Amino acid sequence: MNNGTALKDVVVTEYINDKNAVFSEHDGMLSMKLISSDGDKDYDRVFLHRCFPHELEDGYISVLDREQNEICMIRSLSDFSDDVRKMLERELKRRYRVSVVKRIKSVNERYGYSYWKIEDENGACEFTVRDTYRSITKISSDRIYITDVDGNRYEIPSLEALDRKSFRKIELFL
Amino acid sequence: MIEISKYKTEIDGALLSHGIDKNDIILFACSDLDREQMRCDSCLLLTEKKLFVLEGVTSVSGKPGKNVKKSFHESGFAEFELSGLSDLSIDELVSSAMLTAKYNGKPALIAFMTKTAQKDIGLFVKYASKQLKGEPLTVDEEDFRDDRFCPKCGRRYPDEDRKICPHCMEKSKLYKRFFEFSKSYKKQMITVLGCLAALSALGVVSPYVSTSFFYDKVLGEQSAWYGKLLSVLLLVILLRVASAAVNSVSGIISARVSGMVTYDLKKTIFSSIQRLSLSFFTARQTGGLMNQINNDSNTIYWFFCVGVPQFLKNAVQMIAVFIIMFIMNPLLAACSLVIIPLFTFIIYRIYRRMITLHSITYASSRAMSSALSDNLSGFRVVKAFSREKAETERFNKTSARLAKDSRNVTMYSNTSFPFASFLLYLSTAVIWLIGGVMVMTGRGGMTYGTLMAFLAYVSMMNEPIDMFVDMIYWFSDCTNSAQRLFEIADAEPDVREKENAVTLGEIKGHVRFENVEFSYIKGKKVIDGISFDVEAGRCLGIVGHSGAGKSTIANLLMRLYDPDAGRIMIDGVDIRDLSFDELRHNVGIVSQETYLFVGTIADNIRYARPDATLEDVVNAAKIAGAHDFIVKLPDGYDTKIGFGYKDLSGGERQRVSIARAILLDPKILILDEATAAMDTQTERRIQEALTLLSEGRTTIMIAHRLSTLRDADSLIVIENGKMPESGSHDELIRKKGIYYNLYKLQLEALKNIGVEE
Repeated sequence: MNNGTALKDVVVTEYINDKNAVFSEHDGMLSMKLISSDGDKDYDRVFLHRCFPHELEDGYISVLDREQNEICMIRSLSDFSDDVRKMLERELKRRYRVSVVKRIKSVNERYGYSYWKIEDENGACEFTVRDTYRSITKISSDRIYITDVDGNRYEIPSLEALDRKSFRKIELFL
Repeated sequence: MIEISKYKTEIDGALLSHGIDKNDIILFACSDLDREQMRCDSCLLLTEKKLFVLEGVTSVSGKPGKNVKKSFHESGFAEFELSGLSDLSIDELVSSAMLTAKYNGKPALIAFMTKTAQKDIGLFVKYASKQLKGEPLTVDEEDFRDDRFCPKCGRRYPDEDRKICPHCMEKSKLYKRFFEFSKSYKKQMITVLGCLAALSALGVVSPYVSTSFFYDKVLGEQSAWYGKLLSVLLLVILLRVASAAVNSVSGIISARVSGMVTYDLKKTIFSSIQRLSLSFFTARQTGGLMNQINNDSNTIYWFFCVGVPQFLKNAVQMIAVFIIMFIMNPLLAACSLVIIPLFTFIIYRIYRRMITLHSITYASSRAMSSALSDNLSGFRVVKAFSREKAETERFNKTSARLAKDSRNVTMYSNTSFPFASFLLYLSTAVIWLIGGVMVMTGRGGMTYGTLMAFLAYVSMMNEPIDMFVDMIYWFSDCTNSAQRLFEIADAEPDVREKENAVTLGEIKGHVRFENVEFSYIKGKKVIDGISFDVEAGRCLGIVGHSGAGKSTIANLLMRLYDPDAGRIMIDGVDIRDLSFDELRHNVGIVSQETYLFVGTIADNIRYARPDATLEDVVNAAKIAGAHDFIVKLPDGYDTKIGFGYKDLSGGERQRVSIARAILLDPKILILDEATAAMDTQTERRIQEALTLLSEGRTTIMIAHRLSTLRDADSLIVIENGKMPESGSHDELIRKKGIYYNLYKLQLEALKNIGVEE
């Protein structure tokens, strides 16, 4: 920027912490009271979206209202007390829940589609993938997720930790 | 009871224990996650008064098909009075979704589901909401048409719109289809087959003449051929010449045929690509696709030009050699066959690994060429941000991976194939041993000449087996390629022209959107329940922030995509019922993306109407404000533009593409940020010309510069895919809503830079 203006001086983002935001949970859903000198504002339902779901899980979390408009941001979960942090973590866990692949039993590829039989934390599971190469997203060289025809995600947190037989079945698509 | 998912009789007991009468249930659906988001059977039951959620796991005992007993083990239960329930909705999560509602005024969580169950639960919400509003529960047949599964194997169709189950599809059909391409070259194919048969025959005769016949007859004193050395030598030479001649003839013909067949194949693929919808290309990188088509056609060409003739020749020859060997000496022939089963097993293992390794290499090669095309297309950006070093590193990474994968293939083939070949040589050694003993003891009428001939035949048999090994890898490559090419050829466009499409004759231009919903990615609505009406000849302005969904409306009206729900009508007819020709000749678009093809400026303006007169071209260019800059160019309208030729500026390109749309003379004209790249003055001039032109035709103008839209008869405001405001400019100003704020902001911004509206 000219005249040494920093980006943060140009963009107005309200970062919240224990002092200016009060979260509450009802039946597993978050509500928020935003405290400000202009008057407090209540949001009966707020949603948390990570800005960097893979790079940084605990920071830069956008707080959205029912219409999915951003209200404010959380710079770091550590800006909140333990109780609130746990509440926020529960909400995040729910939003970002994916099946974690423990073992790949078989992958049958036919004409650009593949049929997968895997084992995840819930036991045996089957799904279908369209355009296999493109449905596998590499988060890092070791971590990937597979998206099936319906949009469900199946994550392999570490390819290296995968047993050899399972790896052999997937290496073709990496 | 309306069963959205099939009712599970095994829950009867659990229902009883909660005092629910099965006959009271009016709506049933099944989700697949519990409140902890763990997989389970989560049943949603609606009665006149209450909504129940019953969670549990179904276990199956007994043999399949016989005495199957299902039992339900309940793990959770919740109930909600309908009188306190409202606002049922599904919240999208990253890999799942949750059904929420307001219960006694507070947010309540009803159930979780995976994206697979979301369709069913979506229907549950639709019907349950009707019940909550007191509307009658009439069933919409369309909602219950579930043909997502293959009737033969029960597997899910990978593509719901394409009822092809890859699992049940026969592979032989793939080759049949390929050979269908060669049907028109029947004569040439028969000639090639004849040549191959002759080649095999000549190949089989040669060793006999040069060994057994030569040693036992020509050099054997008792034979009638004794001493006729020159004649036999001549015969051997003649055989060789004949064989070379036939080989050349078959080579020339098969090269020609395979060339033509791959040409036909490429033609088919290209025309298939033209047929496909926009979504096919947005889902794939163009670099990868181009590489795929080119490489795959080449692989197929070489396989059919060289591989198949070789294979046929060797296969026929091998069978002939087998027969001769058995006639010559059955014991030795049997010995040479002993090794075959072991050999086949080893080949099978090699085959499987080779396919994997080749596919890995192919993927790396595709990644590398994508990286290359990505870099070259964005070269200007690379330079501007001086990222050359980083880009080189990125390319090196993909290139190194390809090198590693190719090395793996070579290493594997260099170690496994010699091992397989060694096994074959072992069988030769056995023949030497047994045959040698036979000649020495004179058993089985074995002479020195016969043994030599036999050994020559054994090596003739080994030779093609080596080649068959090569062929395996070639064949797997070719199958992969054919599979990929046919995948493109078979890809069904998402947007299809209806059979017996309606022809309207003269289109008036009345456009109507009715509760249109659309999403590029499942579950992420870009257009959410938009309705508007533009009478014929009127001008509608669409306002909104970038990314609000304005251009999507244009794409939908052009039928580049079809809406997920609702309908779009022109003159009261759903555009899905109109022929593409009718639709696209009557709807013209000038979009932000002004792609110009390689060719002259005139060609580009004439793109949609190649028969337009030169005067029409000039007039269209004048209206579009393009004429002035075109005549200044040394080659005028004949200036070559596009890749490798003259580069036009953004504004100039836009003007040429406006001229292109104007020349089409459509009844409905969409201007999607058509003048965004121009300065305000030029824009105003073009705007005035367009206003004159738009008389008598429906115009839909999309712009975020509000001044562009001041002549519109009515305006709609789009925000987050929804349409919060609509009306005339004055009405919207009076309303003091989103439009008013936008207008005020832009006015101030213009004043600040010294431009008065």
